[in-house]
Amino acid sequence: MSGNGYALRLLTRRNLKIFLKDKANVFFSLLAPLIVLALYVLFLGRIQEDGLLAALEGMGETGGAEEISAFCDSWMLAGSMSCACITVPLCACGTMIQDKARGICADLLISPVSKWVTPAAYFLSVVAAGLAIGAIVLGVCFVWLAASGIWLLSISDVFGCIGALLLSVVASSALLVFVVGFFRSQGAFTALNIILGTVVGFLIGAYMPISYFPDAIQKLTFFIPGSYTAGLFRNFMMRGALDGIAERLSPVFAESLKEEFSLTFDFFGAEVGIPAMFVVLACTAGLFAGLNVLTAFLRGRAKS
Amino acid sequence: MQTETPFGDFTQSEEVVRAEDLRKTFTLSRKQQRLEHTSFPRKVAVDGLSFSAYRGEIYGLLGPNGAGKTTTLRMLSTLISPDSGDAFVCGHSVRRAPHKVRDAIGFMTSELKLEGFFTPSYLFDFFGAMHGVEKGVLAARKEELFARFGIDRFAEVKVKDLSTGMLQKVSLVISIVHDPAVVIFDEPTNGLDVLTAKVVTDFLAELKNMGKSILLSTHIFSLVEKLCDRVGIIIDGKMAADGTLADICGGMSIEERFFEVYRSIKGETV
Repeated sequence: MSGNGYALRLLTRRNLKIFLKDKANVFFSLLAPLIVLALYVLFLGRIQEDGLLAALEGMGETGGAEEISAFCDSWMLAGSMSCACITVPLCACGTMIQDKARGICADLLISPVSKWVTPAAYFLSVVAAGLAIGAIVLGVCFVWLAASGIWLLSISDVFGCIGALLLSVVASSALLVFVVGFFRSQGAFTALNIILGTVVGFLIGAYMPISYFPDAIQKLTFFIPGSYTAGLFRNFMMRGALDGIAERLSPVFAESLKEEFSLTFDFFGAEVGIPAMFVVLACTAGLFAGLNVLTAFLRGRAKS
Repeated sequence: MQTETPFGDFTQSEEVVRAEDLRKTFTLSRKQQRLEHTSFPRKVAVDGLSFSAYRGEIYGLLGPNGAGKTTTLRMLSTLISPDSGDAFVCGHSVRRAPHKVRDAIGFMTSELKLEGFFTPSYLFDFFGAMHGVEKGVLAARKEELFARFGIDRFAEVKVKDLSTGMLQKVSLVISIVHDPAVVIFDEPTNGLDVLTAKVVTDFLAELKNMGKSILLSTHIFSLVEKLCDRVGIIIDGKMAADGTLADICGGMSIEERFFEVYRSIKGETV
């Protein structure tokens, strides 16, 4: 392996170690998904289930508690998973800020490796942290579904979830590394962490479906890449539950749930399905990866 | 002059660092302008600085805060580029061959700024690998340097559990992991207690005996008198005096000489 390649591997591993060794940081990176879980267990789950059962009764359907419960559980897990794909890379970006604030960047830049190696290593370590912890969260979600006796996922849904995890983590890492790159102080980063950690659950519809929000807010969420992450996880995790409702209860009701719980979006008249969601995330990853390269180049030139 | 040391002979007149008319200007923010009591948005930090440092010598850049010492060292270590002029380290230009310059220098900071849960052994290996030192060579150097500075017993102890003195030794040893010809040290004893400061000054003297060239910046007169062979007095980014300690002082103490130079340039009584 070339000098730069070896240094890239070393630095990526170092950054990842720093993130993973800080147990509190890892815990806080999962705070938003845990809040979703806690809210759901405490009251949101019951509210959703009661609401959906009442709506079903209004349509003249009785029963269906099991199907509705499976649907709501899947919705909650999809929300938790989507939050994790954003909050874990965000917390992993903390190493960048820490190094900058403490002047460690100078120690790293003084070694005879190309200047692109350090920013590239930060990006790779953020992706690696996101994937590693995201994979664990996804595993927990699968165990939850299996243990609750509501495993309704097909093999393609499982691979779909893995694909969504990969692309979502890369996209959010590229975006967040770009944004955090402009931060200089730990305080500013902490503020971003708190704000994003708090609002992300609302913006991607993890706490309550986006369709419950005012029209303007709904439109705003279409421009947040995390909404497409959530859309993908909902499609793969809730499809089985939705099919169960359509088969055993009411296809019309299932269709309305699909829209209400944002399994598909109506983006200014155009329906956004699974392939389009993947494309949006891939474009986000490409766009922000490009912007990261550009800013690294411009910063290097400014220093020169 | 041929000098014999326990580490071999070397020619002391061999020029290893040459700064030629270095100039660096920074843009000041509004807050910085207020602090500097100026309305100019730009500040000349280093203004046409030239000097040479030789092998086996310690060269000290002496000056008040804000004189341009750190900026000069940062240019020499390729962390920032000069606006004009150039500097050569072991014959390599900081502008045209920064990689080769970085290979030839060790940049020491007065504190180890790495995470407390890493061990000296891990950090030494990490920075050694970053500098492309081969594994076998790295292991041999680690054994030698750790033994010489008494770090061997603490090699696997977490950095956060080390004493300040030991931490400083670790920091110093890591900065020469790749056996650089030139060691650059910005304010080596700043903020250190007397015991730790002694660790640093002893270390620098030892490096000099090993034939290394050392460039340090300081505003502490006693440090210059104790360690430096040559000294450059910088005031307002300009080289006010440059030469051997004996030539510069001319029978005076470095402190007296410094204030004489300062008064002649600034016209102020300190």
